Amino acid sequence: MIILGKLTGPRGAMHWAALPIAIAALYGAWELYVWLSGIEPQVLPSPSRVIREGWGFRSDLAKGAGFTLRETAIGFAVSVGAATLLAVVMDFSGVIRRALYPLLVGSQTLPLIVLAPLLIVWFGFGLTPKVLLVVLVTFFPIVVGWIDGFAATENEARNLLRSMGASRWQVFRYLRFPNALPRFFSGLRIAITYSVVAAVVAEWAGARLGEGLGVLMIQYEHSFRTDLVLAAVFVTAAVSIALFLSTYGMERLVIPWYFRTRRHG
Amino acid sequence: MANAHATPKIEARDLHKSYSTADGPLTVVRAVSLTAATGEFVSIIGPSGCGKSTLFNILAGLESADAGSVFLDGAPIGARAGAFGYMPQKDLLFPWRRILENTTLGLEVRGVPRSEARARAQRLFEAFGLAGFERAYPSELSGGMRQRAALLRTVVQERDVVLLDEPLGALDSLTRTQMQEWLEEVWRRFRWTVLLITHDIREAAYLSDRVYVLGARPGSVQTTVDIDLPRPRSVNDPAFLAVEQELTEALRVEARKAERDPAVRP
Repeated sequence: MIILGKLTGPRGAMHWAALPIAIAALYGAWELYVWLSGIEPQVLPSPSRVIREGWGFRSDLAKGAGFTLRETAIGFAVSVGAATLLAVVMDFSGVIRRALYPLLVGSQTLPLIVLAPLLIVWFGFGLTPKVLLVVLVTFFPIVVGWIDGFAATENEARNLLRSMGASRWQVFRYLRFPNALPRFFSGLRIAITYSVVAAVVAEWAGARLGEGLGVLMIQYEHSFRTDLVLAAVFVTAAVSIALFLSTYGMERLVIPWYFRTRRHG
Repeated sequence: MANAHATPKIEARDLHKSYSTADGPLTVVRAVSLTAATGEFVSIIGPSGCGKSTLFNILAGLESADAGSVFLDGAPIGARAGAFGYMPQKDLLFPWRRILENTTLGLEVRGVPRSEARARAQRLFEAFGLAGFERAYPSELSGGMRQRAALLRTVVQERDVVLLDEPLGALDSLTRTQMQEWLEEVWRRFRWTVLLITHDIREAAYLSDRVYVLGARPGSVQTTVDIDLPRPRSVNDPAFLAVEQELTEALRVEARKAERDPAVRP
């Protein structure tokens, strides 16, 4: 919201220009450094070379990105479903919440770089370990988003519903659940930015040739094509940013009232 | 009681409520009895902390009394929600529901089909000055309109008694005066049985058939003032001013008691 809010603000032109100017400056400095230092492209290719070579290999990169995106999407969907179910169960049962919350925090302390090869050992080179790693990485912020959202429910609003004779389930359905949606989207946004990287790390740890950006990076690295490694990195970033921005669109579709409320203060 | 009706619509008899605290039990409601006949507008005023809100929570079924009972049409109703439509000070309109959907909330909870609930609420929008705002979100309405929507949400449930817990307390004084006049009009039209909690003496005098003045904690009814003035009342009428004076005096006595007695915590 902060980003989009600024872009559409009253001084829109300045805000629109700020980001392209920063990118152009970085690009220029990099290009200039490579040109002046005469550094070898195997060590550090110029950005123009990364773009040129990346474009040349666009069909490989696109195919890899397709694989990665598919793993990410499946993993993320599983994660949202499971996290939502678990958050609801935890909202209804204090015992389950106390039992599982520390375990969830613990799951976030696992070093992914070590875990990824183990998942490959256990589940092979196919889809499963990628999906699992995406779930592991994205699960926690989504659960926390829900739980914080549920906890932010006003007591007075709950009392109002109870005075109407509402059951616990009705209080959840009419109040706690919709009330938690904005925070759920905040958690979703954090989770989705990590999700592509999680899939790439899992591919990097092991996948069939050409099946994903992570595998492409290893192939290019082994043939000393630093320019193509960086091209794959940029594609990864672009996919992550696109997914991140898409959450704003989802949010406007699912909770349009939230934006009206903010606008009217 | 000053008004001895044959069978009151609602009667609270000898309610007691205390909480246990670190310093021992704290009585917040003591021997409170009150009554309202069908279509009567009854107010409860008292110094802060006199247990008004606890009393309402008991009536609304949100808390249970330690002793005493509540009768509806002469029959005890026990500690259950359902006989009362409850309107708190905050409008508590849900920002994710449009105004029409907010006003049907109580009906939906009770399982009334959505289309029927909407039709029933819709019929009241004109009288509540909300016509044309059915599809607006709460954030798009003024404070006064939001309170009217909250009242609509309360009365459309057609419960036996409407409980209003300082419904106008958060409004600015001009809006508040307008809302008092509007509330009086709409009440005369629909004749709900109303119990109103308020801090505002003029509001109580303007709206009520009877006012209970609660004492300083532990809260019990100290004074009952029947107001038999024609409606709509004029705040400049000497008879009205006399009622206002009487209520002010009764409250002042209670406030002084609360200050004098160190055992009574604010």
